[in-house]
Amino acid sequence: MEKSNLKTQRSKINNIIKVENLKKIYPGRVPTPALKGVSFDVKAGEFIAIMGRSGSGKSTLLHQLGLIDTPTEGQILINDTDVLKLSDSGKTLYRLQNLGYVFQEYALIAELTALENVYLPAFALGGNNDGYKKRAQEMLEIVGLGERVDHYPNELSGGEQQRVAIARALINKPKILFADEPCANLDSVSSKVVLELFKKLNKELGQTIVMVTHEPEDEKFVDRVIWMRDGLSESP
Amino acid sequence: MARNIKIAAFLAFKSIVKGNKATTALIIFILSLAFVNLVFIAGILNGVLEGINKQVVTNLVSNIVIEPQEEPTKKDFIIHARDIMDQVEKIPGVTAVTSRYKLAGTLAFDKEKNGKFKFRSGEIIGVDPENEKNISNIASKIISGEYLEGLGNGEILLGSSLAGGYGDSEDLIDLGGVRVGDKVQVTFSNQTVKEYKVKGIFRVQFGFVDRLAFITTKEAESILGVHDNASQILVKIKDTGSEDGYVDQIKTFFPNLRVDKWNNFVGALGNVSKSFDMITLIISAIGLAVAAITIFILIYVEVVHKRRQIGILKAIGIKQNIIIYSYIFQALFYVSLGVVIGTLLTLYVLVPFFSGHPLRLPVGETGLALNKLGLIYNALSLFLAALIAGFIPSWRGAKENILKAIWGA
Repeated sequence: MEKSNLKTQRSKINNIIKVENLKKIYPGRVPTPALKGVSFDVKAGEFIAIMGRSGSGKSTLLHQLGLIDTPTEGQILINDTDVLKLSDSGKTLYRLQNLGYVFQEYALIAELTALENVYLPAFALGGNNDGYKKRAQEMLEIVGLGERVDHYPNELSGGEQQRVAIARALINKPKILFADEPCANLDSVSSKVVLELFKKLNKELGQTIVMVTHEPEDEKFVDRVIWMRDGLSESP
Repeated sequence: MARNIKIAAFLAFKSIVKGNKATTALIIFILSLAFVNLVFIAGILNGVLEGINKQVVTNLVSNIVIEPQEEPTKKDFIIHARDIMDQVEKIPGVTAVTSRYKLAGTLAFDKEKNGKFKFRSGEIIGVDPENEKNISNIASKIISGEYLEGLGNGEILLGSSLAGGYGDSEDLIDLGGVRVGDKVQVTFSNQTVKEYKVKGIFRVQFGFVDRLAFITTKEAESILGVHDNASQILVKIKDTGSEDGYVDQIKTFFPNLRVDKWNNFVGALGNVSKSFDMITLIISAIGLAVAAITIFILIYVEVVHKRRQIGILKAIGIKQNIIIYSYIFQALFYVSLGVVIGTLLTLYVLVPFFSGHPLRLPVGETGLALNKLGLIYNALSLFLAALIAGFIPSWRGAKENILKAIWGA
């Protein structure tokens, strides 16, 4: 137990994410700056919340960190890798191997069962057939859906779908889990279940989590908050 | 690569299984009709061509035609025809040999017996009635009266198109309705004029033959003033299609004579074959384009409908290629079933239907003439169309920006 804590402590010392002067300007007749030069670090094993008003740039920031959008300027280092220098296919592979992403609207594949949704990224990564199915089953059990593996998304509640999405995001043991307002469409009970699950994953597995939220009460679940205002980050 | 294909196949399978069953059935039905369309047109036109070829071999010139020498001097007849026929008959594989005289002339018929003759120029063939039975079907296609017999002088056999009034509707070439027992006057090209009693009318349902008139060899020789000669010697062999070897062999025996295969006598019909090939090609190309556009639209609608899902797949790290392959596999699946059902429809519905209800054309009765190679070629064309038509919309969908795909941003 002591050894595990020591490991967690040591990993927290290292910066897993380093963001330097990140800018995102949406082109158009009148270019719209969404990020105006954001810089911050995230340590391995941290549970970070990005908070701010609507339009402050928090989701835009998460899209850049999760490599699903490309910033106009700046640098993102993840585990010392300059991820913005990767090609499109390199970014896809990097996402598959190193990042997990939980969307606001569950974002499950409607034609796949809960188990299939979860094991799809592991299937894509490769490895033993039984291995990833077993692991997907375990992940669903961790998120409390061990009994609903064969259910399709339309047979699950919003909270259950979001937990399937979390299991999917974790199946390849990502270095960082990104969550974009994961509780925005959930009732308070389901929201609490999801946030407690994040907390548990962070504490017990040392999972680094970066979550965008606009709920002030979510602050109590996280280690640290990065506040966003008008496209800039503010220290607490 | 193998893993990518496995994942793509998995996604395609799930998409088909969980997709709307009625829509899937409709897609497959449309593609099966597209395949039938490709096969049917080619089959009918091939049927017509096969009908023509069969008629040429069966009723016009048999498999091989021997004609008088052209070099160093052109001759009108083959001399000592009997000796040549005896020698050719001995070639293994030759099943029948006969000689013919070809005479040109003008036939005249006074139907109303009022001195108003109807004149028609035509070709009069002198045949050995018994030998001819082994070469052509004319003897068995008598629709009125009787076939020629023995040496029979003064008798003539007319084709239905020449006689007229037998439903051939070719007033410009017929004699206005000659019946068995009527008399027709023939003025041969050597100015010999003879009157013949019509012994029979035949119809083989091939315009080129049904316009001919037949007299006996003996009668032809008396008009031409020759003996044991021939304008043509027709040779029938066991296997149509293997004429080349026989032609070479006959040429070695009789280097001065002209020896040709039946397809050199197709004449103007050869152009029909080329035209039919072109029509088949054009209709197939249009059919294929329609099928390809159908597949394109189906996959395009599918891609647009699943735009968000494609974005999610990319966001969780699924490669663009896997997404493209999955839609191509769906297109190939639809086409595979379309081809299978289309083939079953063709073989078990259309072919039996056209065997029972053949098309009646001037070249005879025509059905669907299908060949394995044609079916395979059409199936492969459809697969290629599916590959291209499946690729374009899925490639466009898969290369879309993730955020735009998910949120339409």
